[in-house]
Amino acid sequence: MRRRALLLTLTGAGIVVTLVACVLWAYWRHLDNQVYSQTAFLMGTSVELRVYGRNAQTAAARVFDRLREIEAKMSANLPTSEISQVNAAAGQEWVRVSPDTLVVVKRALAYADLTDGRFNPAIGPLVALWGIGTERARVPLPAEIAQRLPLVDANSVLIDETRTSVYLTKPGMSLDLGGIAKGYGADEAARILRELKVKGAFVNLGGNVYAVGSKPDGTPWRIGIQDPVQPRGALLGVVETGEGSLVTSGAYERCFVEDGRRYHHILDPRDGYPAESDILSVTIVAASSTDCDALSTSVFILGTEAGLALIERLEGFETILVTKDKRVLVSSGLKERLQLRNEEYEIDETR
Amino acid sequence: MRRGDRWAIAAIMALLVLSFGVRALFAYFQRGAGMTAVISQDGMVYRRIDLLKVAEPYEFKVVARDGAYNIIRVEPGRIRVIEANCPEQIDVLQGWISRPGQSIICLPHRLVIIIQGRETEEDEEDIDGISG
Repeated sequence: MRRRALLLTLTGAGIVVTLVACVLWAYWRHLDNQVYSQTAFLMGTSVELRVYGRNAQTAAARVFDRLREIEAKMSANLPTSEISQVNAAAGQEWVRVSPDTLVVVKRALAYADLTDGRFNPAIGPLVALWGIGTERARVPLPAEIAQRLPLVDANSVLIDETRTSVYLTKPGMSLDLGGIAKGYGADEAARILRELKVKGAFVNLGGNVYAVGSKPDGTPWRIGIQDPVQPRGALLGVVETGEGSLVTSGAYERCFVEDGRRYHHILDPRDGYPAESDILSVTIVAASSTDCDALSTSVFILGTEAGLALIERLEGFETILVTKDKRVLVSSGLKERLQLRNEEYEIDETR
Repeated sequence: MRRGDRWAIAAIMALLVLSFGVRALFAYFQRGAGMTAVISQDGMVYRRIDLLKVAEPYEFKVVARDGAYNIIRVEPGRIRVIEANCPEQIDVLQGWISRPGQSIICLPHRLVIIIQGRETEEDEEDIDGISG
C-alpha cells in the first residue's frame, strides 16, 4: 500500500515538475521572441529600428544614443558639431575631431579618390546654395554656382591622423557628410546590436538598411526596394538577404520643382547641378553600410557604364541598377535573391 | 489506498490548474493579434487606433508647429494621409496602408503612422522594410 502511495506521489511530483518546466520554457522562449520597434527622426531622416530578443529594448536605447552622438558630431546643420567647427575654421586652422568623425572623413576622401571627385565630402557650399530638402530650396544663378565650384575640392581637405585633426585649406570651404554618415550610423548600430548579442535586428536609416542576425522564425530578411518612379511604398522588387547592409540612392528621394523642372538632391560636384545620370536608382549590398552609402551616391553620379566599372573593380559588392529606360541590371550574386514586383521593369540579362 | 487516492486527486488538480495556467500564459503572450495604427508626431504617440475595430470611416487632423498639418483618414482595416501641407506630398501619394509593419512617414512634419500587430500566416508578401 505504502509503495503505491509513494509511486503516485512521485508520478504527481514528476508531472508537476514537467509542467513547471514547460511554463518556464515558454516564458524563456517568449522573452527570446520579444520584439521592440521604435522610429525616431535623427540625422536628417527617419530612423526605424526593430530588435528581437530578450534585451531588445535596452539594445534599442543604446543604438539611439549612439546615433544621436554621431549626429551631434557630424551634422552640418548643427552649429556645435565637429563638422561645423571644421567648416567655421576653413582657411584658418586645424580643428581637433573625435576618432568617429576622422574615420568618416577619411572614408569619404577615399571615395573621392576612387571616383575622381564625383563623390565629394567638400560639397558643403553647393548643398547650402541649393538648399534641397529645406524650405529655401531654389535654383541658384550660374554665377553663384561658378563662384562655389573651386571650393568643392576634396584635395584641399587635409587630415592629421596623429592629432586627429581636420583642416580645410580654403576659406569658404565646407564639409557635408550627408552621403556617408548615415551609412556609418547603420554600421555602428549593427556593431552595438551584435555586441549585445540580440537575436536579430532590422535597422533602417532613411533607406540605409542593416539586417543583423536572423529573424525569430529563421527565414531570411526581406527588403523591399522602392520603385524609383512610383509613390513611396511601391516596390520595384524584394531582396532576400542574410546579415549585411543594403542601401538605395535615387533622384526621387529629395527634390523640388521650379518652372516645371525637377531638381533632385544628388549634386554633381563637377558642374554644381543635380547629377544628369542615366540611372533612376542604385542599390548596393555589402557588409559595410558606410561603403554602401558612399558607393550608391558615387555610382548614381558616375552613370551606368562608369558606375558598373567601379563596382567590378571593388570586391564584395552586389548591385541593382535601374536605368531611365527601365532596364534593371543585377549583379550575379543577387540574381537569385531579387524578385521583381513591377512588370514594367525587365532584368537585363546581357550584363 | 485512501492516501494514494488523495495524492492522485491532488496531482490531477495540479495538472488541471497548470494546464489552464499555461493556456492563459500563451494567450497572454499571443496578445496583440489585432492591428493597431500608432500615429506619432515628433516622437510622441498622438493616437492609437485599432484598425479592426473601426466601424465608420473618419478623418482627423494632426497639427505640428508653424501650421504644419496632416489630415489622416481611417477606414475599417486601413489608414492613409489624405491631405498635408508638406512640400513633396510623399505621405499623401503613398495611399493606404493596411498590414502590420507598414508605415507612412512625413519627414518634414515628423509624423509617423505605423501599423503594429502580429503578422498573419497568409502575409507571404510581408517585407521587413523598404530601402530607397
